[in-house]
Amino acid sequence: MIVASCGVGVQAVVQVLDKPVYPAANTVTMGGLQGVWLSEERCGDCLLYYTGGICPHTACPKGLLHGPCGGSQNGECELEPGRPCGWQRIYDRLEALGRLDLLLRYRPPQDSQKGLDVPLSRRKAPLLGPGVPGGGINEPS
Amino acid sequence: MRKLAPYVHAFNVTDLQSSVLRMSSWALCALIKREGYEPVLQMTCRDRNRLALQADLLGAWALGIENVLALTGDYPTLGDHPGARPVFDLDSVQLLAAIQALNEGKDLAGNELAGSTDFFAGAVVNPGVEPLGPHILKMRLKVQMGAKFFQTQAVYDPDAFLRFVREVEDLKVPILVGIIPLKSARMARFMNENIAGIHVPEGVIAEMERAKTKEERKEVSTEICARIIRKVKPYCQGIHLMPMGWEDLVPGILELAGI
Repeated sequence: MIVASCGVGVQAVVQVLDKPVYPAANTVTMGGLQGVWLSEERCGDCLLYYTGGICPHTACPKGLLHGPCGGSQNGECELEPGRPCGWQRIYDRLEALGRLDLLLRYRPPQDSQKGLDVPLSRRKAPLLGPGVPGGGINEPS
Repeated sequence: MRKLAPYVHAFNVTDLQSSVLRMSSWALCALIKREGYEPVLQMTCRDRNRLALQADLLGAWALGIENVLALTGDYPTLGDHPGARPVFDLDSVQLLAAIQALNEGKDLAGNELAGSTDFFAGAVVNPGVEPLGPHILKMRLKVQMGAKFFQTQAVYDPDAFLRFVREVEDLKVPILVGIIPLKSARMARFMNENIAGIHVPEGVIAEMERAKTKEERKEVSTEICARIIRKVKPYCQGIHLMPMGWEDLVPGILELAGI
């Protein structure tokens, strides 16, 4: 399933569908028609592709990109009783989809310039330089 | 430190452990180095973005610090500045990538540096958490990204540690088992309830309970630590003692453990 909306839409579809869900859009700017979603959050570097449609930025308080920290126990986050560990959710989902291999891929640091309305493609400086270990975008096969 | 030096190979220096304000870990490492001892620089991703982390790594290398332990870091709400902004610009795996890049004479953005570092990088794993699956995958990824050794969360249940070791023995990476001497039965119960991956068995808590005076507790705690070390010794490559104020126990624990 391909969802051509921002990550919120992708994650909504994931909750009702037991199939792989891929984002077709990458929200880099809040310009244009904004609809009813008023949040300023957008990462412009959508990862839902690799994480079973569950966003590690919103599901994990630390926004980790490569699995849980040591504070994940019995599927719960140590920061709040009853709060599910986002990375345990991602792991369970990918295991069900037979795609745990995605968790063994290195992902370079993401772009953090959330305050700017300049699309990534128009920026001069490369976000990820060559020679970064494991750098570059790994497309799921 | 001078008293302990004959018994240990290196000193770990924590990076604002539990998000409580302390001196910079690189600064204390430099002081330890100046005294002629070997420090392990712990670095977390909690307080510095990718620029600051790399700057501190370059500075640490210039000060002669060679061992770096890459950690995620505790969340600020656990510490004494609970409103502090959590950074986590990188995670521990990306911090390992940064160390690897600097070792290859580049920075994380791919820019060539005038020289290169030669850090010996390590990482952490919590062998007591359930389910272990995601943690083991992350450990594998850390090895891929240059982790040459691992330090663990405190181990009180040697059997659980052995189950963990069997899952990762194909990695053939040195593991230093974390040992925290118990100070009281209350401390054991507190850790069981509040710290992910720590499980002090009831029998061990009962042993601590039977000790009445501080001296007795120190004696029992020493025996417990030595017993755990003797059990895990054939399955690990080192011990990371975290005496938390009870540094005077270190020689006795190691002697009793036959190290």
